[in-house]
Amino acid sequence: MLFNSLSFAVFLPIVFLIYWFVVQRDLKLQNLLLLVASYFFYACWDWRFLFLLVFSTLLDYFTGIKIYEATESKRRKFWLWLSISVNLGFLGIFKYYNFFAESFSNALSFIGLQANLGSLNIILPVGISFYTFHGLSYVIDIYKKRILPEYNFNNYSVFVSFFPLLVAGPIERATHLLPQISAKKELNYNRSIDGVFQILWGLFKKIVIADNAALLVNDIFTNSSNLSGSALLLGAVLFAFQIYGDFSGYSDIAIGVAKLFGIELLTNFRFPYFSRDIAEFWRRWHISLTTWFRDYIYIPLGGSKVSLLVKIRNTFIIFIISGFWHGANWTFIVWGLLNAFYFLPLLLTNKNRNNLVFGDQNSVFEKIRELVSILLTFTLTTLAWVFFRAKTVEEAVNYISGIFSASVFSFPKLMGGQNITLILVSFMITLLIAVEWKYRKSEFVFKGISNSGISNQVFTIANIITLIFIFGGSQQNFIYFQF
Amino acid sequence: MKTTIIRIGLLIIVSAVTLLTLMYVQPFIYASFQSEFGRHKVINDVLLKSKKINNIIIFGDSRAMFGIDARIIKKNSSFDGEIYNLSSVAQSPYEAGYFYSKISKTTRTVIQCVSPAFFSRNMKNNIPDEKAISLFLSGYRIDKKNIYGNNYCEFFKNSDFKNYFESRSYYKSYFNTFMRKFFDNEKFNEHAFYSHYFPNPVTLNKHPQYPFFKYDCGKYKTINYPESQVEFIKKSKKYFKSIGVNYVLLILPINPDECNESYDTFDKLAVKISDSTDVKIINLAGLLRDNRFFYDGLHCNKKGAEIISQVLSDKLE
Repeated sequence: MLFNSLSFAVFLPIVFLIYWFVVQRDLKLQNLLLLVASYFFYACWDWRFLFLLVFSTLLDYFTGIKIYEATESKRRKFWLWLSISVNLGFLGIFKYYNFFAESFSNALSFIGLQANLGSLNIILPVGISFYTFHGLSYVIDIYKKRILPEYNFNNYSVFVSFFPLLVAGPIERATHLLPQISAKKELNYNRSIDGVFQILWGLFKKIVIADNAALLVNDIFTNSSNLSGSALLLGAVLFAFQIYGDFSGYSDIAIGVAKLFGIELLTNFRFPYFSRDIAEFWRRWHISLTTWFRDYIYIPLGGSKVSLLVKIRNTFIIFIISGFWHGANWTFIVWGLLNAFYFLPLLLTNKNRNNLVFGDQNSVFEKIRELVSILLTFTLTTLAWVFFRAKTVEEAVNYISGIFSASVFSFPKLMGGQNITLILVSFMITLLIAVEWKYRKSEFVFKGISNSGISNQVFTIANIITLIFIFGGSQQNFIYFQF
Repeated sequence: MKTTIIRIGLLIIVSAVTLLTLMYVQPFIYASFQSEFGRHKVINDVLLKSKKINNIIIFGDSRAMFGIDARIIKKNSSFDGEIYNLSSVAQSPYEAGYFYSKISKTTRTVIQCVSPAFFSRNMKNNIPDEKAISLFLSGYRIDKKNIYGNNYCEFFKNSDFKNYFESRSYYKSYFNTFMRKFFDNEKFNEHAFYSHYFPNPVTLNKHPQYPFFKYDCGKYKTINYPESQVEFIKKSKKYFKSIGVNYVLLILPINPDECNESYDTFDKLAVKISDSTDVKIINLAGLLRDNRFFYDGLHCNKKGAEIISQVLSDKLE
C-alpha cells in the first residue's frame, strides 16, 4: 500500500477516525489499533514477511529484557550480541548474501581460483533495513543503560512497526518514540493541521517532482551513451531532485501521518540542497540515519576525540557503511567513498561545523558567497548521485566522463517529446525551491500555518491538491523501499 | 476539542470539494481543449448524431485515414446515404470495435480496415489506458451486453468514480498539446509525428524530416491465424448480422518495395479468414504495385487514395 495510492487514502481516514472517535479513551486500545493497522499495512506488501517482522520484534523485546535483568556483564554481552548477530544475519542473508557471494567468486577468479557459492533467488523484505535498525538501537540503548526495557509488548511492537515509518523510516530511537507511545494523547489542532500540510507537501514532492522527473531521468540514464554532455548533466540534476522529492516526500508524509496520531517523529530532511558545505549537507539529508551511524558507530569508534588519523579512518568507515546500507552494490560503496572524500578537506581544516545555522546575510557579498557555496555543494552532491543511480561503477564513470566533454556546452537534446515534460518539471522544481527557500529556517515547509487564518489554509490546501491532481506523474514506487 | 473537529472537518470538506471538482469537470475540459485522442469525441458525435439511413462507416488506422477518400466514393456511387471515414492514427480493429455497439441499425455497411499485421500474433482485445481514458472522458460508456461479454479493457470494469480519478493523467495531455505549438523546430519524434510531419493527403511531396516506414513483411511469410482476432471478427459479424448491418473487412494496398513476395500469403490469409468467419473481405493488398502511390513506405498519397477509393466504390456498388 503506497502512501500515494487510493487505498491509502481510504485506509488512513478509517484508522484516524477509529483512533480518535472510537477508542480515544483507552490508550491500550489505541495502541492495539495502531499495531493491527501497521501489520495490515505491512501485509499489503507481502504478508509472508510479516512473520519476519514479528520474529524480529519478539527477538529484540526479549533480548532487551534479558540484557536489563542480567546481572553479569558476560550475560549482558551475550544477549546483546545475540540480538545484533541475528538482526544483522537476517539483513545479511536477504540483502547482502548475493553481493558477497558474487564479489568473493570474482576475487578468487582474479587470482586464478574458481569458486561458485551460488546465489539466492529471494526478494528483499520491504523495510528490513529500517526496522532492523530500530531494534538494534533499542537493545544497544538498554545495554548502554540509556533506557529501561519496555515490558508492554504491544507498546514495543508499535515502536518497531508503526506504519508511517515502517517501510522507509525515519529511523526512530526508543528514547524518542517509546515514551510517546506509552503516553496518553489528545487530538491537537495545531499538530494535526501541521501534519495535514506536511502530508500534502510530501505528496507534491513525490507525485509532481519525483514521478515526473523519473520519466526524464530513466530515459537519460538508459540512453546515456548517445546523449550530449549537457543532456547528461541535466539528467544528473534531475535525478538529484527526483531522489530528494521521492525520499524527503516520503518522510514528510510519514511525519505528517504520525502527527495525526499525536506522535512526533524525528526530522529526516531539513532543506539539504541549501547546504553550504558537504558537512552541512549530511546534517540535513536523511538525518535519522546519519545520527544513527554517528551515535552507534562513529562515537563508539572514538568519534572526533581521537587523533586526526583515527578521525579520518572513522569518517571513511561511516561513509562506506552508509553507502553499503543503501544497497548491495559497489556503486553505493563508491558513492559513500566519494562523499567521504568531499568531507575530508573540511575535517582536515576543522571547518566541518562551520555552517550550523542559516545566517541572516545582510551584505550583497555575503549573499553571493552563500549562493556560490550552495551551488558548489549541490554540484558535488549531484555528481555523487550519478553513482547512486547507475547500475554499475563503469556506467557511472562513463556517465560522468560524458558530462565533462565539450558537448556539455551544447543545448541538451532529449528523447522525442520530452522537452515539454522538461518544461513542466523545471517549472515545478522552481516552485519547490521558492517555497522551501521561504521556509528554510523552519523545521519544515508550512510550519505555523495552523496559526494562520482559515482562509489561508483553505487557499493553500486547494492549490496543492490542484497541482498534485493535474500535474502528478504516473505512479512510481518510492526509491528507498528497495533499501 | 469541538472547535478542533469543526476546523479539521472544514479542511477535509475543502479538500474533498477541490478533488471532486477536478475529477468531474474533466469531460467539459476534454470537450473544450485539444488532446492526444480528441478524435474519440468526433467519432462518438458522428455515431450518435448521424441517423440517416444507408450510411457507410469506415474504421481503420492512419493508412485508411489517408488511403480512402469518402468524397470520391460518394461521387462515384449511387448511395443516398453518407459515407463517414472514421479512421484515425493507430486505431486498431479492437479500438474501432468499442464503437460497434453505438452504430445505428439504419447503417448500411461497416467497413473495417485490417492490416495483415493484425493477424501477426495472438493479441487480447485490449486498448491502452490513455485511449480508454479518452473514450471515457468523451462520454463513451461501454455496452457490456454487446459482442464483448467480459472481454474488454480493464479500465471499463472500474467504477466511474475510480475512472474519473485515474483520468487525471489526461490533464497533462492538454498541456502537452498546447505547448507543442511552440516547438515547431523540434526534430521528428513520436509526438511531433501527429501534428507536424504526418502525411498530408493533398500533397505529393514528403517532408524531408519524415522517415521512411518499413512494413516488415518478413514476419508474414507464413500465415498466422490467431484465435483471439478470429474470435473477435466472428463476434462482430454475429452482432452486425443481428442488427441488419453489413460487415466487411478491407485489406489496403501494401508497398511493393517491401512486400512483393508476400502478396500470395496475404491472399491466402484473406481467403482463410473469410471462409472461417463468413465475413466478406475486400483484398486490395496488391492493388498498387508501384511506390509512386505511396507518401512513405506505408501511407498512400493523393494519387493512391484516388485509385483505392475508385475501386472501393465499384466493389461496394
